[in-house]
Amino acid sequence: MAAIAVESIEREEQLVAFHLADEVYAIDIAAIHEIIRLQEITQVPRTQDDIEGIINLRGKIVPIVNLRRRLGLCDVERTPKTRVIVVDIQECTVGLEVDSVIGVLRLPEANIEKPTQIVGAVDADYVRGVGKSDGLLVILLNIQSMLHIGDAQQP
Amino acid sequence: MNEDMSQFLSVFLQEASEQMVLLEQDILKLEQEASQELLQEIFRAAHTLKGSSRAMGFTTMGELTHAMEDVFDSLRHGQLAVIPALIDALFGGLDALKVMLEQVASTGTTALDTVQLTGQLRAVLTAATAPAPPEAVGAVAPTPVQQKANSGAQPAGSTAAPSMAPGRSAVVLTDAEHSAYQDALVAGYSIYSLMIEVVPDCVMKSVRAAMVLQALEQVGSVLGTYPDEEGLESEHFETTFEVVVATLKPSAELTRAAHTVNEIKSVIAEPWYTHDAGEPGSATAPAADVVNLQTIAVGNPTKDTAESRPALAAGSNRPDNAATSAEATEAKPPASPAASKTETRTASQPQTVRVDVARLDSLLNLIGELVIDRTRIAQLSSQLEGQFGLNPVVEHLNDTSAHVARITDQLQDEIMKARMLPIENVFSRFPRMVRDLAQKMGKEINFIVEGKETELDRSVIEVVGDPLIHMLRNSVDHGIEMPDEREQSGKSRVGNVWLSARHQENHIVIEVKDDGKGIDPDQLRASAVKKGLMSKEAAARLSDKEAINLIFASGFSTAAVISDVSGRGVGMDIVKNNIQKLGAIIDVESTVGKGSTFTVKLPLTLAIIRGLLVTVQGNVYALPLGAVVETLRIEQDAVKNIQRQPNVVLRGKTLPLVQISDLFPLRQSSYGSTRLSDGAGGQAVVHRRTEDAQARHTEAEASDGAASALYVVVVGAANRQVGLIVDTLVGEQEVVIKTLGKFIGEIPGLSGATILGDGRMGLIVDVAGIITMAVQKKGTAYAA
Repeated sequence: MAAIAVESIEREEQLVAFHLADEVYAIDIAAIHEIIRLQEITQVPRTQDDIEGIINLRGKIVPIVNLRRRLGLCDVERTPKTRVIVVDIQECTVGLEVDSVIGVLRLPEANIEKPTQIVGAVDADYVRGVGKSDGLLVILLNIQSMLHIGDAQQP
Repeated sequence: MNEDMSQFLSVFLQEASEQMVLLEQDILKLEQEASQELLQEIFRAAHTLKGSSRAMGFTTMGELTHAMEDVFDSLRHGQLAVIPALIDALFGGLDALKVMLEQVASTGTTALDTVQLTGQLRAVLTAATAPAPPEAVGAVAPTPVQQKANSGAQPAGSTAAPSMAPGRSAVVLTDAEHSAYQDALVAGYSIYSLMIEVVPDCVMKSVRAAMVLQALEQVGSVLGTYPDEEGLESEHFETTFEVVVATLKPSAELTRAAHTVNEIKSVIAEPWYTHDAGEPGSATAPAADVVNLQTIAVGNPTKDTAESRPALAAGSNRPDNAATSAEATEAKPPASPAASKTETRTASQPQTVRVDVARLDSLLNLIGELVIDRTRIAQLSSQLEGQFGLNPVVEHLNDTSAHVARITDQLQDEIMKARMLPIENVFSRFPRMVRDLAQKMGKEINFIVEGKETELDRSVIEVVGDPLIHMLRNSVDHGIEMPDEREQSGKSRVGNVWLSARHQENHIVIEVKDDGKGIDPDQLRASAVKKGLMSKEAAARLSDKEAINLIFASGFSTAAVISDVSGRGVGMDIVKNNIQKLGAIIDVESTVGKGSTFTVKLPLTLAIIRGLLVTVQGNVYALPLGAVVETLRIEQDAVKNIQRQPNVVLRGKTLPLVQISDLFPLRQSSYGSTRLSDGAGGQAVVHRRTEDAQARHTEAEASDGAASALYVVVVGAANRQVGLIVDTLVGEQEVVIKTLGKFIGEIPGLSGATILGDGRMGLIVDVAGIITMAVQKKGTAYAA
């Protein structure tokens, strides 16, 4: 038991933490392509509500997902702090709109717990763990289960 | 297969399929006229195919091609007459080859049983060449290249089938082989000469020889043979042939490997040396060396060198032969420099470079972005001009921007041309298809192809094949009558089907025409009623042209008997759908008793389109110009509701109107998704373009003059027209089509997105899709 605990302490996860509706969320840094300011979004009709639209990222068309809406949180006004986290999933580049980005977070694996049934208001399928950092609760999102390729159209 | 060979597999696959296409075309031509020139070409293609499939170790393919090659050889020498049974047997062989090639492509190996086919071909051959013993044919016939090489020099045939004294090596190495030999020596390989004797009554000596070579490849690398590879293939030896092998293993291994092949009587292995100095081949090889390969004849020191074998030296000059062996040697441990392969190839190939399609696509993408920036620069410079007037700096900028624009246009043109392929790529498979169909149905058809050199973008080439297949099948099946029927109606027994392609302005026009019975509009009306597609009254109201267009309706087949040719009545429906997807237009004209003409008007490319830009609720949409019929400005009160749907009467016809905003509703989110709150995107605000300013101005004007004018874009697809109500018209622009990406997937009514000159995005409308959506929406009331 003790030996395992020691090993886990040594391992840590590198995450990018961000704010959404007064809570702190984080995703694996490896999946992140870049973080950009919000730019003009072109709405695409007949897509699901949480698809904000598309942006022109240096000549590449990148869809933007409103993470608040995807997680079932209520909308807020955009602010100068609003950011888009651009992630790569399964050969697709997708932007995630978040309230603001906090920064890189190193979290020892020992501080990460498996998600309980209900994590705040968020669908448990999207959460892969809950971590503690400086007394702050960090919800680790599983972007793979959160973003499915090709399910962006309106049903 | 040797593992090192796998790197040549893709080259082999590509070349083999090219040779097969060539063979197919040529065999078809053969049916028309058997010219010597054509036969030579066929023979060469078959020979290359045989050589390369053997080199790759696909012996079944090699054997089958060999059988076919023998038939061609006999044809070439007038020992065989071209009869349908022969053509069928050849096509049978070709089809089997295609299957094998597909197997090789997917599994890396092929296991098709070709014994029957080979037997069939052999039977054709023996039956026809019975008077002359088949062996004599192979032995006396010089191969085409030998003929060419020896024109003006000694005849090659004179040294045919030489008998060899065992123990006296006669192998001559080409440059490439020689350098492989030297590399092998340096690498510490032992070189052996193997005298291999086949049993006297061996039926297929060439196959045995090929198998021996293959077996030897397992233990070493074959440097050269006597007779050379071609000589072995055409059985230019009595019972003994010689192979020079480089190996790291003892000679017993070689003998054992050779003995694994059946019908091998004896194998004698001896160490083999060559003069390092390398005697110049020019002294011995005939002047015919102009075939441009310098041959260095290197002989065994224990015997006289090449004097006695001039023909052989020339024979080994065969470009593809040399290339094949160079390739083969290259794959082995004592690799000869890649350069030797290139050298031997250059002369026989045109000055072209094969480029990966992905690379061309990415080039086109880059140019697409350049086009966007070009537009942007032009806009900026006109903005500057507006702001600062015409000062020298602005003038320079204007000039430069104009120049950049010109260059970009040229660049785009060039790259588009580089992506162009002649439509022959699609057309080439049709003659065979039409022939087979006609034969199956007992019809006599003369198939005429015109304009196959017409070039179009590969994006179009890839998708245009399927609809054309259905159209041709339709013409053969439903268009052309049975021969007797034709005779009765005073036509010649042989029906004509034309397939033509030509450029017309910015389009490619493809026509499928037949002189068959034509389409009877009354029959179609009756059929539509019978099938319950429409009421009798509705059918009667259709004009003849509209009635003829019924053949594009799904579930419609007028042939009394459903044949396996044009199938279950889905054919023309598929045609219509596929063609619409391409943004193309299909039209049909027909006269009863005279025939029908189907015309397809295709865009030159699917990557860049000219679009009419419009705005709706702040979003910019691009409507492909090919589908835009006209633009209108109509008064609000001209809109009449018919069955609760807005319509406008235009030149006596009612045109249904559709609000784009109804089909493409946008969210009215709390923070208007296209407009940003202050501070969030300062840059984006700068990007606002003048047109947008104008647009807002017009919007304001429109709302001021309450219920004044509507902008309507009339679009048409598949003989249906709809007026789209838009907020503003922006203008015409060339747009580069980009997909919305896998994440968003396909949105009905949209075919992609594009980046506009100001960096903003526009959505490209799929006109056929949006019309379908509009029709489906029927019954739903629009707020007019």
